[in-house]
Amino acid sequence: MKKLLNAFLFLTLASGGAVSAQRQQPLKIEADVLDFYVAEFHSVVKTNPDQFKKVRSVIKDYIENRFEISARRLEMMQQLRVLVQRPTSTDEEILRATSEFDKADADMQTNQVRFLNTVGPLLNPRQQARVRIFQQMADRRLLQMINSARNPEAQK
Amino acid sequence: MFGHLKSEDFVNLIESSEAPAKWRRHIDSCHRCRATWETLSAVHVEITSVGEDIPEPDWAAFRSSVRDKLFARSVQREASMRRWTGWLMRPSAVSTLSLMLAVGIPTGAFLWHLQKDHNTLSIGLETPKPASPAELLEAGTDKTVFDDLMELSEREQEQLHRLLQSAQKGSSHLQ
Repeated sequence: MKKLLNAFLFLTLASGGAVSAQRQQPLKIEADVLDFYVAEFHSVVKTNPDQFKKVRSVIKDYIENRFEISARRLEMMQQLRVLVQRPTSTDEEILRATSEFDKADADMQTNQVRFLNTVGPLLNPRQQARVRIFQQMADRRLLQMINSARNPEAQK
Repeated sequence: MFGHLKSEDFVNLIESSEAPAKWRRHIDSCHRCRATWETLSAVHVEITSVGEDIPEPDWAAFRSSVRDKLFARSVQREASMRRWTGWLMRPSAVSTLSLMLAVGIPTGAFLWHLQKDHNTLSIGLETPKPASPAELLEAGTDKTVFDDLMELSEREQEQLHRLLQSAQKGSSHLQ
């Protein structure tokens, strides 16, 4: 009985650790995604070399934060699903997980605002307007590519 | 001694059968009065015959036709009124009209208010309020894109890597 319990605990910890490692490990395509956003920004906002040099690091922080926040958000969503389905979950656990999920959402907004507030002073008003267009266009293009990657047969 | 007959005497002679005998005798003896009498008698006969040719109106038919025409006009007016107002009196039409008024008036007032505000803004009386960062987020980014990105399998990441590389080749190299 004791062995069985130990085996169960081992398996649980091992699987949890694997998931956690998977989340914390940066994706292989993170660099590709960053390059994609940088190229899109330059293409849409039409920055000069001096502006581009300053803006690139801001975009890098912005994209890295989006990866980190999304990972956290997904993890919290997974926890919420488990807690909701498990009958023995306490209200305290559920409230804590809900609060963490909401914090991830709020962090996403904060990251967005910080990015806009940082690049804004570096750009003229027309370029600032183009930043908004860039965000929507880049996200849409990336989403299209994600869908294509998920279902490559549909693209043939 | 009396003179020639006067005009009113001739009229009295025509209209009354019982004329004084002295007038008859005078007409017989006086050439001038007899000529006048004969002329007037001829005219009187002619007028009398014309009067006999005019048929007496059929008062009953006249009354009936007048009644019919009045009735027809009343029906026509009623039909005309019903054409304009009759449908308004139907229950479904009344409820529809009430609904239209209930929705239309507030909507119209609201649109008018918006138009008024727009006009006010367009002439520069008020400065437009900048969008809040939360609104910008909703308008600009899709927060699920990176969620989808995080959930890609190894094989899908490879596929996306190739797609991103080909997209990069399509645009200018910046680094």
